[in-house]
Amino acid sequence: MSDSRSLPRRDFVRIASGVSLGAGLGLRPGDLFASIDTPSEDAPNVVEVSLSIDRGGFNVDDRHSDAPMIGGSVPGPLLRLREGQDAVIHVTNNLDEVSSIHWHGLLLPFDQDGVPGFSFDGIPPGETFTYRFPVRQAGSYWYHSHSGTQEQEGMYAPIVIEPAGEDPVRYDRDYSIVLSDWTDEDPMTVLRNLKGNGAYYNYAKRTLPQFIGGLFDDAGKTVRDRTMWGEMRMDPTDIADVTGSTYTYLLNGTSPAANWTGLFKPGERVRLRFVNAAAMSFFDVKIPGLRLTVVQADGQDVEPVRVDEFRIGVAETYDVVVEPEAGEVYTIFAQSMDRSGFARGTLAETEGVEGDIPAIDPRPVRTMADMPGMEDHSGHDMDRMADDHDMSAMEMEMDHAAMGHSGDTMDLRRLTYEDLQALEPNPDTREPTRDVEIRLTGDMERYFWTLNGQKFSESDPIPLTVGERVRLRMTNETMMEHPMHLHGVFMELQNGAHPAFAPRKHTVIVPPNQTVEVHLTYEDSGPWAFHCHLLFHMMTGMFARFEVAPAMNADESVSP
Amino acid sequence: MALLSVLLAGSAEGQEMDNGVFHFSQLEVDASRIEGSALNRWDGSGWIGTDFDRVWWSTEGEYADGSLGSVEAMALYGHYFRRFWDVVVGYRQDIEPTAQGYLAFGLAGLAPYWFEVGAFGFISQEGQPSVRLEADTDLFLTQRFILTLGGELDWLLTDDDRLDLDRGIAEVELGLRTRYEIRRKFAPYFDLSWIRERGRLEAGVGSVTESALRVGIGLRLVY
Repeated sequence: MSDSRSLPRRDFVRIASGVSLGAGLGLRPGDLFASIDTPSEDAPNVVEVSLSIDRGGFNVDDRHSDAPMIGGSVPGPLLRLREGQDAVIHVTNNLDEVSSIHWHGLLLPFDQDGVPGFSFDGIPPGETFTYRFPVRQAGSYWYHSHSGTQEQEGMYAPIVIEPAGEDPVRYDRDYSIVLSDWTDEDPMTVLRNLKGNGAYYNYAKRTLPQFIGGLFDDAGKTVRDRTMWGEMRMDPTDIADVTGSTYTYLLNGTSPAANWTGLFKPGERVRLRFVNAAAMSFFDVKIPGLRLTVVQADGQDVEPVRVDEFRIGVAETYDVVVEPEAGEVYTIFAQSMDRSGFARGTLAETEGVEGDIPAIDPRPVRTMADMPGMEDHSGHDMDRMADDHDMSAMEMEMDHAAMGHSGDTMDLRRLTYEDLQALEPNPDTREPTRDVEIRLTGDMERYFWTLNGQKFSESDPIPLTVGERVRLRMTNETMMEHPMHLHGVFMELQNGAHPAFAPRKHTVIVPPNQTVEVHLTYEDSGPWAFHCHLLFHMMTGMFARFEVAPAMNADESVSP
Repeated sequence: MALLSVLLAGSAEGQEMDNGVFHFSQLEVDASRIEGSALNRWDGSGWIGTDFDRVWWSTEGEYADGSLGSVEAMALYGHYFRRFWDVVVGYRQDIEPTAQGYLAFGLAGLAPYWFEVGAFGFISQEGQPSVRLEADTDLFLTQRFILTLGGELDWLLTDDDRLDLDRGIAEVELGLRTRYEIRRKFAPYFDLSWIRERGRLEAGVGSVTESALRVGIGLRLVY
């Protein structure tokens, strides 16, 4: 497992074995990824990696946790693979509880997918499980525990898979940027707090003085508005269930204060591989002063789109290319969707410098249109996501820009799902022959979440067949965005692009009161998990089993 | 019992644990004055169980000058039967001023406009029915400075010989409570209540109705 094949344009630390990577080298966790990149000349097609899971101290600023970690760091080591290789990954669980590793977004046999109860029984304490799968794709992905709350505690890490052929993306240097949310509270305590009070972490509720102020502005509207929300027993300020009141938002395991820094040389094209490994937090990401060229979504190449900002839902990935200029210091600014905090890092030519930290944007609030049943689901579903600010927030933002805070906020261009278009046509463009309707449901007050009104433990598997062309429609009847993740297949997002170029995603955000349609064709049989990737939504029931049977006959398995 | 087996299964592992056992407890204790005399009170409530099936408990009581005023405790099994609502059934025990047991049943949940509501029927051990309605709602003065408006009404549907009360409304309480959440789980409060009740202020004499204002300071603890 020697590191004989070096990739000079990459800046990663390379290590022969995956055991206790960061700690052993005295790296600050997340400071720099330990990259596992071990194709050998003898067997160039097999990559063999060992990972261990251990519990250890993890500090964020002055707070401390005892966290399960992969390879001794948070995030765990970067796993660098090459398309066409056979991966052999030994995972040793040194915890005193069952653990697992799920390869998020990777197409592989179901028994290598790492979901306890689906793929296997999990990795018992003290045991080693060896994953073996062919690497059938390229792109940026991630891996994480699929057991209990280990993911929230720190068990997540990035994956980069180099394409077998030429990479359509031209870049000189790349960094994985892993965003996450971290708390020193026991995640089960967080969930318990939410069970006792769904608004436990919401410190941005509407107040009586705001109501009285509203009466002076427009009494009728204010009363109608409060009445509607009150009648529904819903809260327009409920943007995130868990907020910066307990979370510190991390970038590559590093707090905003500790400031992760990625170096560049002037003239370089830098590829930033963003992964949202948070348990419960969406981020809006921007790098003031730099245009972001989005080149990949969920590991799949897309037509490049130039934007100033993008929203990344839990478990999504976006790759962007930037061209930083000499003498400049740039701040990577990822504010949580509810604006209760941010993660930040720096792009600079030298260590130890920092750029301006932008002001946090106004909080979005839910509008009537987000209320289930308040509006029909047709039309421009996708663009609402980006502009769900209420009018006052919009106005504030405009004022902000007008005051010239940073010259170009006025025409700040946000990525929407409608901007995404696959670079290469999808292999299967048949019309779906099978419809699956799933309603996203739940009770914020009681704090549990369901699909079609049922918890996973109450639900029946959804039967599908390999090769069957499926139309999956997800209708969100709740007030929250749900990042829905389907294992074992890519979902082709029907976003108005030509179906052949529908972007392929492993995780799709379904906004409140909207329906999102995806098409898909399974190539691998097995039980596959489908769930909301908000950890506490998943844990309380927002989970289903897709039971994909092998193709009955040759005709059905045709995928042109 | 299914509940127990879930409890014993320990921390969440795998998806079959999506209906695990949780618990919530809240205790309020205060020092009050009513009509010029000191009165200390406690009010505790909570639940343990899954999202769908819970045991709800509550206890409230008063003591003054080293002796207990009215004291009651209640334990109810609650089943979540539709969004926001539990149907409950169980037992209520009055300890003071008159020891008496009741069969209890009713509805509890969140009504429109964010009112936490309880509607209970009681059958005393003597077979006498009564009704209790309670509701409260929070108004946020700031994110931590919170005003609770609450009300409670006890209504005897028949004469109650044991309590020595004629039928009719036995007690009404309207409260205005302002708490400051230093933390969610730790909040001092100031309480102002108007109480109108029969019989109890001068125990042993039926049909005496009196009203009083009660002021108090206390502490809310949540676990």
